[in-house]
Amino acid sequence: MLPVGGIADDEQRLNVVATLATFADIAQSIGGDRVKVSHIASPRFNPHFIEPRPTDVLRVKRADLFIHGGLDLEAWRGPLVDAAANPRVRPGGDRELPLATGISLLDVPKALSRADGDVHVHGNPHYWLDPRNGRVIAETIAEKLESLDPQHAHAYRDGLDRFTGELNREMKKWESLLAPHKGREFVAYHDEWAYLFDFAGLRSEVFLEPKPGIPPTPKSLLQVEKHVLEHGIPAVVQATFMPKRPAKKLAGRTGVRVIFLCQNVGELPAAKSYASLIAYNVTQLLSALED
Amino acid sequence: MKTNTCRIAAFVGTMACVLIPAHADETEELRKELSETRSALQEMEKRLENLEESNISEDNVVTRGVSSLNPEIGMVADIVYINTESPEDFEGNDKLSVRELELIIGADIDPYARFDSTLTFSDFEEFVIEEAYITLFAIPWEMKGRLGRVRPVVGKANPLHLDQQDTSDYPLVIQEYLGVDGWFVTGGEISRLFNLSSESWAGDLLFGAVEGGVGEGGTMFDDTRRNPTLYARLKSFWDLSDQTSLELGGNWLQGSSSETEDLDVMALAGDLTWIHSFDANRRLKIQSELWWQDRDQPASGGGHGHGEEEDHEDELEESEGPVDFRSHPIGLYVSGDLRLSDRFGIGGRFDYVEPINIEGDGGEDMGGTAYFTFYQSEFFRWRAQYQHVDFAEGLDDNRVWLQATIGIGVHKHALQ
Repeated sequence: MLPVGGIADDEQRLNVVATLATFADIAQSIGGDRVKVSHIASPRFNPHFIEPRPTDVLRVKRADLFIHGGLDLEAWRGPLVDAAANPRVRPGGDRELPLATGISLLDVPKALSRADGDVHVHGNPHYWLDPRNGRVIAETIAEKLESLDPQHAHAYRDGLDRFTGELNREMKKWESLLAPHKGREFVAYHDEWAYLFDFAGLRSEVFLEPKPGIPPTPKSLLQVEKHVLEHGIPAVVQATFMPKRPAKKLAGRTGVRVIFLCQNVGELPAAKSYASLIAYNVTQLLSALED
Repeated sequence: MKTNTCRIAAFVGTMACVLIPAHADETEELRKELSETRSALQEMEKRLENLEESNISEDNVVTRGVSSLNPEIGMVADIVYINTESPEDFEGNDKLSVRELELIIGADIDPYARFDSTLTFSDFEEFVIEEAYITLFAIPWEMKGRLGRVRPVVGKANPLHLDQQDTSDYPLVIQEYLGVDGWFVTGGEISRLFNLSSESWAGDLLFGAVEGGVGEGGTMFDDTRRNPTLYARLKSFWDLSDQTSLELGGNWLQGSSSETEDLDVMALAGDLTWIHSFDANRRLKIQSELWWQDRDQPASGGGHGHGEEEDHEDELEESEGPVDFRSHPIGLYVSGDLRLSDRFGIGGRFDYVEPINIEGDGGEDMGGTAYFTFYQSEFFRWRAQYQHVDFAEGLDDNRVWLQATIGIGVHKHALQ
């Protein structure tokens, strides 16, 4: 990332705190050296279940901008913001930025009940895994940075152009590589890849979890095993932080491959930026499809 | 003539060899373009369909807008079977009970304040307002305030609700000194989070002033509400890595031993919490608190904090001489909780408490606890716990808890 217009002092830089490492990476790409970015949730842990620490509370307390998913993935966000006692980053505050704005959400539930597991009220919240949404997220962040720091609006716009330019180039490659495999089906541990599959023209309709957030049971695994064998599923996909034993068991019984995808930047060394996160996931999917 | 015909045929043949492949290339290109356009159209249709599904009608916007102003409401239920050797018909002994039903209601009041409350019901205790406080966000110098009925932030166990404890009961030192269900009381707190040069360290300084008294069965302070209790806490937290953290806390309390005394009891407490996450699903937590008091009066009220609801005031009035008591009673616990997977966890706790008032041989309460937890889901937890306690009076007890804890609705307790 090239510095834009010289290195700014710490005092002049906007202090941006994001809930997830992916949001932080995009913000850093847009803001360059005009922003000091940090994130709360370590990408090595399940973003549904994060326990913010006092150091996280202090970061949000001092944030010039607090970026989050805007839906109900980060259920820990409310207590974190309450503890931080920074009125400007509370819901509706001028320094709070929910990123779901402008995103076309998938899997919006028609009815809500915990009998359906840990359903997400507004729809599937893992939207950043579709690079088309990555462009929308970047635009949203750029607009906010421009409004907070209009003096350097041109720098943020340049950052956005570089980010989306690189992403658009990579997207063309990914689309052409994935095109021959349109319609193929994977099995996933948790329903967190809907947007990635939507972009890739793939699908996942059966999950190791019998219901979202409910750990797999022997009975549910048997049903998945039957589905894998009947439909020639190329692989089971899951994030690195999901329990590995159920998929391993399934692989042992059916011979199906298990591939680990990344939910967030930094989850694995190969996913060190947003573009490389998507590239890694696409590469892993292709390795199973072309096997 | 024949030659011209041959020439024309040769020319036509040559042109055909050139033009037909060129047309074929163009046709292939057009076919490809058409296919791409069709795919793009299908994609746009799908996105339109999704947008239409997620769009909200005018009526729903109004309804949703109004219902968005409703407070967050959740409920936590603690259903427990306790088997004990104690003959007391108390605290759910030897029966299945809805030990605690917490109704949690909270909402932002305005951009600068939030209200949270926990109303607690039980099938063997009276209804209590466990918490009902306003949190103030816009106090100068980055401070935060709480005003109302609170669980004072002293130590690690007391600020937490029963459903947040790693065990099925509070540590014995909390039960003995602060109350069977811990200490919740009306007053105010002010706090400030801060750090120095390192971003991996945070400090938190807190002061509180509340009405007198402790929780049910607690012995540290007298129940006279108009004699205030003051307290302070300094917390020091280290992010050792993204997997490991260490917290050390120091606590000071000053309260009254009787109706006629004023702020004559001082208590100091230290606490330590070390957490290490092996991976996303496995975690070890070690926690300990040590409490020490400086007092020159006996405990005037409360029970023993371990199930006996005796009123010592009558005993004191009827006693023929001064009550024998410890000037510097101490109490401590050490606990470990090991989350083995997303489904299972085990743990244990060691307790040691010196009752303030000395009875009989003047011994102390000492206990050991072991438990196993099964997480049916994020919202439903089962626990089996065994505890053995040797009481100061020479009695002992063996207890078994079988506990089901559930949460419905929106239920978010404050961060620890």
